[in-house]
Amino acid sequence: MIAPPVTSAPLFSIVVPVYKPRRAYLTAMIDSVRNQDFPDWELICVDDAAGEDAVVTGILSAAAAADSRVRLVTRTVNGGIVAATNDGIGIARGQFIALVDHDDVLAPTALSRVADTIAAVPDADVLYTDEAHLGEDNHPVSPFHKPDFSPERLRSHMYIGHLGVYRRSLIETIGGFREGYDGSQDYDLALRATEQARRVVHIPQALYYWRIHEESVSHRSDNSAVFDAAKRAIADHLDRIGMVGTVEQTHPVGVYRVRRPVQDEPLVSIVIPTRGGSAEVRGRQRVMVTEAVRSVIANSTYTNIEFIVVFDDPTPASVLADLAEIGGDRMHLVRWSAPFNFSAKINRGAVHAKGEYLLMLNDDVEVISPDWLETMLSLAQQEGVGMVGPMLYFEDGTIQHGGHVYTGGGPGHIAFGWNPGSTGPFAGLIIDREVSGVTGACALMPTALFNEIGGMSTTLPVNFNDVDLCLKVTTAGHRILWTPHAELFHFESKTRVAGVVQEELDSLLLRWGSKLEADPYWRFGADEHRQ
Amino acid sequence: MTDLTSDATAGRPDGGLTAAQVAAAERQLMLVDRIQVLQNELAEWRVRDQMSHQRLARELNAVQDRLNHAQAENAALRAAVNEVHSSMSWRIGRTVLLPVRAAKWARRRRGRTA
Repeated sequence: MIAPPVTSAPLFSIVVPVYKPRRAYLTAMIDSVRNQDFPDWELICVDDAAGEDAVVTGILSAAAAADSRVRLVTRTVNGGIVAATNDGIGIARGQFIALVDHDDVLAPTALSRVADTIAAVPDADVLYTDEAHLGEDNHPVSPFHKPDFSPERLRSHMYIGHLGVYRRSLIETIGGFREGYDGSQDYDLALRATEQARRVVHIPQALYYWRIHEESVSHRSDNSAVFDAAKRAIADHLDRIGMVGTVEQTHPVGVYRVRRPVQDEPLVSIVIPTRGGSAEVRGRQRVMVTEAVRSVIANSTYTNIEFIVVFDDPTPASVLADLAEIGGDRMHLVRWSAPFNFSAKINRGAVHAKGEYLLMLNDDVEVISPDWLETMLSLAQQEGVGMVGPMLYFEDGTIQHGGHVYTGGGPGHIAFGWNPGSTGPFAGLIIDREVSGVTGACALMPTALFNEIGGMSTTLPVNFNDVDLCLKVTTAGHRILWTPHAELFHFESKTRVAGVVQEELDSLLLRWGSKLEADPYWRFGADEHRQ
Repeated sequence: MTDLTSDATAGRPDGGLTAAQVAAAERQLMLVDRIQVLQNELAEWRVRDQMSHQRLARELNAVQDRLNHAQAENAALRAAVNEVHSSMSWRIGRTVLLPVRAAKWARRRRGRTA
């Protein structure tokens, strides 16, 4: 490759703090930068070992001598990753700062792909790419196909990772890396930068290889200081954006949960369409709707609720009497005399709803988490959130619903049939996160929004009405969240024969076809689905 | 319990919605939905049929006609449904505030006796 003339202001400044790396890994990193098919960069290596390692210093000096775009900074004292990276940023001339670790490798097209994206999205202030691990044998493994910008997920774990590229003016505005967050300094930076970025752009291609070896931070036996720093970073983030909540670590690999209080205890209208059918659950026959209502009342700690049960004509009088007795003043029974239409029944219930929030609930569910409503409600009350869905399990404990995924021209359930306790790919089943949609079997949304977008589409009487509703919610500019911290059983298809009517699928594709091709939030392939 | 088992379209015995109000509210939900459906279909046809202009024009015109009709009916229905929503807002305020006030009153009572 022919080295181009150095411009005074390259597009990219690649900043690499260097501290006692393996020689071969450092060389591979430098080579991967010099082998980029895009020339407009500078590589700033900050030697944080104060020149103590003569071999490393030699490698860096040789690289600088061989390519004028490689710049070397030697600290006089070891300052740690935050100080070293800030030193590099301090002398950077590029419009964008790309952060690279001293033992990692860039794909040859990494910078050109980012440059293309910047050209296409001129107001992009933060960009990130997919990444893969690099094993000891130098083969890429475990690709992490990240979601598009997902602020709720970012409050749960540092998913942006590598390659992270930040507009230099933004980094300068927020003051670079902060001392006191070592080990989670990149997480802290990502939170602060995305808060102020005009646009955060995801490049769905693995352009960075993160080397996994014995000295990696992720292989340390005690990372408690790193996790404490991450919790502080998230708590600071909540303070800055005015979000009330507490942070707790929920998994040893560095996964967090923000617990928020419910504001003002709003009334939740629970709309349940039913025919009053019975089925066997755990070896016993039960009337599904009465047990669903009973479980909501008995197992829920949130009490400001009303039930609107929309029942078909054939519903037995004894079922209605039981519902009246179980629900008391909170029970409203609404008759449905027309042919079955799930959407129309939900709409009928919504018309009668008095609550500020509407919870669509199937009659074949059973509450597991006592605070399920608080969990969903506290998420639904966040700015910009239009709908929230929970984790649903089949009777045998396997997962029925981990959010919707709309990809390959059709909708599906995330984690359908997976074993209970699965963390999912990249913690996807143990964190609150943005999703393209959630099942109408249990979904909470503001009543005003439901009305604003025309409720459920009566042209989809049986299938995909929830998919359609979700797409209307997101198209209207709202986020949809899924949470694993609200759990229910869903004894799906025990009361109704499941079946897809081709006409409904055609209808869905006709109106949403282009939005069903590639899911922005769940991009895991068949390999990851088997986890 | 509010018993609406006779017929929802007969209105709510607790002084809630009338049959006409229920019908109007449901009709408007349907119209708002239909407008969005048709707008989406227009967009999808444009994406799908960029290469077959004749079919595009035929489908577009048909969908556009349906969209115009739905928008006209929706506008005509707006006043009636606004009235329904006003009624609902009043009832939402009553339903939300009364339990909250009751809970606060109960907490104060407990505080006094503790």
